[in-house]
Amino acid sequence: MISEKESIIMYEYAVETKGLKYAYNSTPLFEGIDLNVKIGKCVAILGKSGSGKSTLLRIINGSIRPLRGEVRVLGVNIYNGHMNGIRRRISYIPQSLGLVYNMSVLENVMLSKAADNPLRASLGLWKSEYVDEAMEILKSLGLDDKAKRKINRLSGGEMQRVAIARALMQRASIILADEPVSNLDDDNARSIIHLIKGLTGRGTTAIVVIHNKRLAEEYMDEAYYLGNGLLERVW
Amino acid sequence: MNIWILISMALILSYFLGILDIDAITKATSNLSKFVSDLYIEQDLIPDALHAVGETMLMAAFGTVVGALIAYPIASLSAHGITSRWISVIVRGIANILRTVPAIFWGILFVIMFGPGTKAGALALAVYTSGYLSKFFYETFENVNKEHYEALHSLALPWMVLAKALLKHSEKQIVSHIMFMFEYNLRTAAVLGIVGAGGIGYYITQYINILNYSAAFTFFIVVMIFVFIVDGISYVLRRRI
Repeated sequence: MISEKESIIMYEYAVETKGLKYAYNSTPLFEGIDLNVKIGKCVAILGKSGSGKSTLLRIINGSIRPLRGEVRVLGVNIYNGHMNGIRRRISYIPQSLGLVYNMSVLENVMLSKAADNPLRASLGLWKSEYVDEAMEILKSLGLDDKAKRKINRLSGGEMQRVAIARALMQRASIILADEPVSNLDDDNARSIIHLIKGLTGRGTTAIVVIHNKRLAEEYMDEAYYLGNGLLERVW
Repeated sequence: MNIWILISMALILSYFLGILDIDAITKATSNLSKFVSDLYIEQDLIPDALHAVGETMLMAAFGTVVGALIAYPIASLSAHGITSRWISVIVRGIANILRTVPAIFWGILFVIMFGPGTKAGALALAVYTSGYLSKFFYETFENVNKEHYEALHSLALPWMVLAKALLKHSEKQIVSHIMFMFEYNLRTAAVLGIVGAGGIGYYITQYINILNYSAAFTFFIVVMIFVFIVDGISYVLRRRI
């Protein structure tokens, strides 16, 4: 498994795509997308609905394959390399957040550590040091008093924080967030983007699909616009 | 599909089976009315019938609970995307065998192994239920929202933890499947008695063999009332889930 130190030393880019081509139901979505995101950057992907922003994130995450093109994550070609090792370095937060609604906040965060002891994890018997670490993270996000609450009893903003808490617990090198603030009011949206930006200060790379241009201008290091099948750098 | 085609097919098939024979229908109606007119509920058998219903419910409950416990790991290994394709194909094949063999055949097998009685019936139901519920469970897992699944998959969760996450995510549907299976098992438990595997079917069969149709009818009515009550409770509970 590539350590974070190794990735910083060995690789300049967290994510590199070359010549990505994808079509949806025979309709071309994008042709020849090149995207190079340096480690530690917070990058916005802007664009109209249906332009392929979510699809781009899913391709980078390895959930779907492009028709053509290459994707490298931390220097590893995700179609040639051992994906599981890389997968654990990526935290993918889809629009629906990917949280398990009938599990508690704490259980959802602990899922990031499931690979360490699958049998214990499946029985809900977590190591105490993991529980302590998770509680520390939840406390930093103002969620420690809600640790035992089920996800479906949280507000939208709180759910977003749980998704970020899980990424923190995972010690993800890369966060792919698909419209993390689309259903939030201004204050909550700002605090979520601020949190994500804070993570990149610690060496994590974030690629965020976002419609709120004002927030993107305020927080993002770089921004790209995906439209008419092409990706153009905005700033 | 044209309804008239279906009606024509039904008429043609009925003709070949001799069902459209007017004389046969008249005689059958007469036989039925004579048979029904001789039936009555033997009130002194009601306590025995209630005891038999209790046995049947015990068999159905055991079959459902144990069947669900066996079905969960089978479904976890059968669902596409949780383990490797080869494992899911093989385990799915095993589950298909469990489900394809009718419950009555499992009943016969367990009667041979354990002798007649509720033990054989309960075990038969557990095995049959595991096959059925594993299919319901893995189809439920596979139908989890794609985005949700991709987010969980991106955590590179080991298969048993991914299965648990999918189970928790689909808890309502899973509980609904289990409740449906309990209703189904109640009916099947009544039938298993025909092969000696306990339950109320055993008593009904014995009375039919000695031509005591009223006694059989009494047991039949008691079990039907219970099945309706359980169906009603299950329907209300499933709507509330």
